[in-house]
Amino acid sequence: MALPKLTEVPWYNIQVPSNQKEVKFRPFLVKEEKILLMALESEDPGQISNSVLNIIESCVKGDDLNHLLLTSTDIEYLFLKIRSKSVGEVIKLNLKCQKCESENEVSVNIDDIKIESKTLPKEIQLTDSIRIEVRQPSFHQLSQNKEMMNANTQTEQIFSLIKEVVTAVLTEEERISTRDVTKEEFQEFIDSMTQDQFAKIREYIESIPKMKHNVSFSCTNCASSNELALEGLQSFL
Amino acid sequence: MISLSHATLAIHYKTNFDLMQHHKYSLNEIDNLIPWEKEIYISMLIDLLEEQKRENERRI
Repeated sequence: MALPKLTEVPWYNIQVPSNQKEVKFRPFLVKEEKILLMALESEDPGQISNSVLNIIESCVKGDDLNHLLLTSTDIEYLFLKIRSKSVGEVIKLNLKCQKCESENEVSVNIDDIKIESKTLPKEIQLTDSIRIEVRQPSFHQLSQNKEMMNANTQTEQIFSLIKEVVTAVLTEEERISTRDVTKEEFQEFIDSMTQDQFAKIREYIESIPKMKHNVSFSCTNCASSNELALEGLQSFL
Repeated sequence: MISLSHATLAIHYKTNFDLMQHHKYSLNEIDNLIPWEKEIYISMLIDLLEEQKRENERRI
């Protein structure tokens, strides 16, 4: 019986965007690509998220690395880097012309895709005496949030995102963890916010770093020039 | 799709079947390749088959 091979694939170093910690990653294999393809063809967002997270779990290792705590930006960035070493650095995207809507094949080099780095506040002041504690939600948390995955409007999506972002409400006397309040109580708290207070949370959510890449191309059908901003992993689908 | 636009599940199974049926690869060997390695082997096999086809045509 043959002994198993221990070093079948190369390992590369990379920094996790949210905490700048160095970890190692390897390319995914044909058998792992099959699982991704199955998830993609199911068109089920939950299954796609699970298979992306499983790939990250299998292909990324590091001291104290908890895959379940990685943010969406971390997952998107790590996944694209893994993809570049597994399939190739160039992604061919079919982008619609903004004028005539015909599809154009545009090549994007993964190494050109950057993540905006920002230091986010840990607290948001709502009134003179009330603050909320906020944190970037993890990819796992978001993928488990069925309300958000099935949200029909952007507002519905933001409401369910707020529940993941706010970890505690701080008054002058106490810290109330959102884990200790019921869903209804928390909803009531959000509903009682003024527009300005709500805008502060919305601003925080919108400032969470995203994977961003600008592409420009000339339409092969109508020759008009297009400039598009691709954001998040879904833009690269 | 998710940056895998070169592949679909149907193509995945078709190429695996061809590699096993006509070129004696095992499924385990194919499964443990990196996707770009599989692409390289496929393109080398295509080159080989085309070369063999040209050779056969020359003989006829």
